[in-house]
Amino acid sequence: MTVEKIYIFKRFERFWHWAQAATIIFLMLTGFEIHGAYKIFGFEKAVNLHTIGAWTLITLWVFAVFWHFTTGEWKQYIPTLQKVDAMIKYYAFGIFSNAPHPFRQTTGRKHNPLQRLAYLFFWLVISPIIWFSGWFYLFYADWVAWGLDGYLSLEWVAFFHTLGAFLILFFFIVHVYLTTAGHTVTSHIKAMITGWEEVEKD
Amino acid sequence: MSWDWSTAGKLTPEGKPVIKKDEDGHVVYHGKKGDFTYGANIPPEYVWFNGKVKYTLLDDKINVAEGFTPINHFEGGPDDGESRIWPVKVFRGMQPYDPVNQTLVIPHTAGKDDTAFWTNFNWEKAITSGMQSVGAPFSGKVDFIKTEMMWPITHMVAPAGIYMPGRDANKLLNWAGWALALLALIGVLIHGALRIVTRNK
Repeated sequence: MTVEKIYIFKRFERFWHWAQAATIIFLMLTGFEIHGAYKIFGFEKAVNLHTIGAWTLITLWVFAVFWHFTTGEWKQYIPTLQKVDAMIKYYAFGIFSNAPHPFRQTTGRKHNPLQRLAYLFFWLVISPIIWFSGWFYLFYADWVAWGLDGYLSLEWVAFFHTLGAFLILFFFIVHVYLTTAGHTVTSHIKAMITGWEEVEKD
Repeated sequence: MSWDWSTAGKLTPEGKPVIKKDEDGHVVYHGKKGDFTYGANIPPEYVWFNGKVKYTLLDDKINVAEGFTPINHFEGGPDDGESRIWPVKVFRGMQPYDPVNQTLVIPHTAGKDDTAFWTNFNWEKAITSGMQSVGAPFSGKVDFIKTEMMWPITHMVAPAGIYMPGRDANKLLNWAGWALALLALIGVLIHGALRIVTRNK
């Protein structure tokens, strides 16, 4: 078994990933302060910073969505159930006995089947929950003008925004841990910084 | 949370003020003061407040047609950019006024003289001497009006969540959310530890 280096993450993608990581960590930090978990900035400042962070991330996403569609990279998120069972088996058993990784990364398939499902879930479920509830928060003063005041209550907007936040926290913990589950402990992280991933070759 | 002065003055056959208490021992009627009502665990009323309070002063004209007279009034509104929503206790009263001059009055209440209300139980005498003491005009006629006074509350307001319909759901979510995060953390730590332990296999 030898190791091969392939170019997986292009420059914009890497910039997008790390800018998004910093923004999301900052949003979690300020968001859970607003939620009442601890005190760092003080409530009012935390709210203002959280709002700035949110618009920053939205701006970043406009570019990211544009990039995904113009490059065709969105296809990387088309879900597949193929080899999902093999992936689960690998994380549950194989990884402890140095079994070969069941998925071979290529430039055209940079995510393993579990990643595809996880990221798709992030884009299609968690993101809409957090963004729509967040916008309802931001534009609370306009609910009456938009005729939404009869359909929405602050309590339930808060509920869904908090639900989204906890799902992101969960995603974050597992995501950060799984960056260490590549060919070597740091190979995934190196790939996200340099673009070059080490993959096993028969 | 109200005080009705208009019923004051009832005396026992011995000439002592009548006193009634509720089952908790609180005075609900006193011959010197009138009827009281009490409240506990009451949600406050909320008003827009810009920090300025306007009081009805002794020489201000009262508009009886309004239904009640504000002893004070919190100024502000949603559109001035500086007001906040403030919790207040609204104290409702019934008190003597001068129906001819249309003003509030100052009664002389306590004292061992023949004009003090608590000695003679005569409003006309008590108000005549009270108004004289500050040089204010008094027609000699007495009637009663409803009044309201706002007390700003800066403590003893229960957390906002208490009256939220979504409170239980949000409490449960908070608990479940942290539990999920903690389980994820424990899970990855165990998984990582196992990988370290088995790394030579």
